[in-house]
Amino acid sequence: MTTINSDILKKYFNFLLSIFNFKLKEIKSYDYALYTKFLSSSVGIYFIYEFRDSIPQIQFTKLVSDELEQRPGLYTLKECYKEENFKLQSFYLDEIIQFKKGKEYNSCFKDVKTIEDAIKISAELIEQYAKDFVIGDKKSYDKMNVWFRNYVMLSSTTAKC
Amino acid sequence: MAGNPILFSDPQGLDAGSAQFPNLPQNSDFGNPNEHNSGGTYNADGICSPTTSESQTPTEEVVIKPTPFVVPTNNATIDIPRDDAYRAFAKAWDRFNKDKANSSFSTMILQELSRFAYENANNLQITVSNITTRLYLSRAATNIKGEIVNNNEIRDASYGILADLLTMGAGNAPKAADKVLDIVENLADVAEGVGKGEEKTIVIGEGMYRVKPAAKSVGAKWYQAWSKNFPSGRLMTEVELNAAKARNARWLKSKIKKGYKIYDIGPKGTNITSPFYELERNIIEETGYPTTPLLGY
Repeated sequence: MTTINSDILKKYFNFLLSIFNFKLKEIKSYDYALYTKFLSSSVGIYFIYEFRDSIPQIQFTKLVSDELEQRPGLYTLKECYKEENFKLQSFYLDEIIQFKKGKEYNSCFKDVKTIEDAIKISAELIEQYAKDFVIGDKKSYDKMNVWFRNYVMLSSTTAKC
Repeated sequence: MAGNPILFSDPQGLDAGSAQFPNLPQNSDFGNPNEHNSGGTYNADGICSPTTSESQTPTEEVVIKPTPFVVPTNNATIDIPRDDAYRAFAKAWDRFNKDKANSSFSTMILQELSRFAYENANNLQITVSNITTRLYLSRAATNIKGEIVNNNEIRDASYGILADLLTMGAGNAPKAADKVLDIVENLADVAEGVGKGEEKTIVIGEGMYRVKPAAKSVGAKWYQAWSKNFPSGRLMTEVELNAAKARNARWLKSKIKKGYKIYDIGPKGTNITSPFYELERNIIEETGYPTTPLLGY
């Protein structure tokens, strides 16, 4: 089954390889999750699908080196953005869609019944909303960073201490 | 309590030479699996002294590595080798699922767990005194060394076992099962060393791909859903999802109850898209339990 999931991913994400010159850097397939990294010369895409959550997470990062690193979460970002010059160059697909005033991300997956459905929808959402992030368009990343900074700093989600 | 919840008409029947030890390596530390079924006595160190008939071959000594300890929640002494027992429970569950038609092994372990449940529900001392059962657990553990990845799997195996307890018609099973779960989790804690005065910590957050490295960095535990609970080739149904969430909730509440320090790495971004992390957040909110933000993940 884990191989099948890998094959499904390759099928629906082939456009990254054939059109946008990405390379499949890494694919880890388990019963419970599928983790895949795609790299182009300027962008890294990290596809994370932990099946129990039903919804894939897709992270787009403008690369500064050959390594695609995991973006830190909200708590860390809040600290980072306290520094005025901090510039984030890594965003999740749900954030990009929200920035572009698209559909609510979770709702796009509400009717999925299979892993394949979810992967297919993910690929469609990338094509629809995130092509500029796929090609590494600097303006898009910079605009997103400005919007995201405000969004993060205004977020009331904090740990209960 | 209502009725006699779980019947053990002949606990000593486990000692009657009928037990089978499938897959036991013949050259295991415990010798031939059938040689000691007829009896023998064990001293406080778990050394088997052969009976008269066995003493004709006095060269064999069976060591079952007992490590008696006190379960923190109910002060009951469980006189079993804790790690071995846990592995045995997990293995029992695994075998039970793989081969229900030939489940003598798992049935026996289930009976033992059921007895724990019964003893707990009635505030009785919990013991595993049956020689064969002890030997059985140890032997089972011998068979599976290296197979158990971590105590999260063991814990999830215990959930599975408890689910079966509930279907065994035991009148007081739900309450008893809760107690068993406490025991099992305490056993897992002790097996990991957290019961020895070390700080008990867990990490929660959105996305296991973030939680796992964070937990490892601070030497904490994390919730790890057992992969066997995932349906093959499809996503979970609503019923399955609810059951999975209930397991997650139970785990977190149990840690809160035991006073664990909870590190929270938070959402992955500005939106929480994981129903499991959302659930964990809700529990934290409802209980007002303090968490410590863990940055860098």
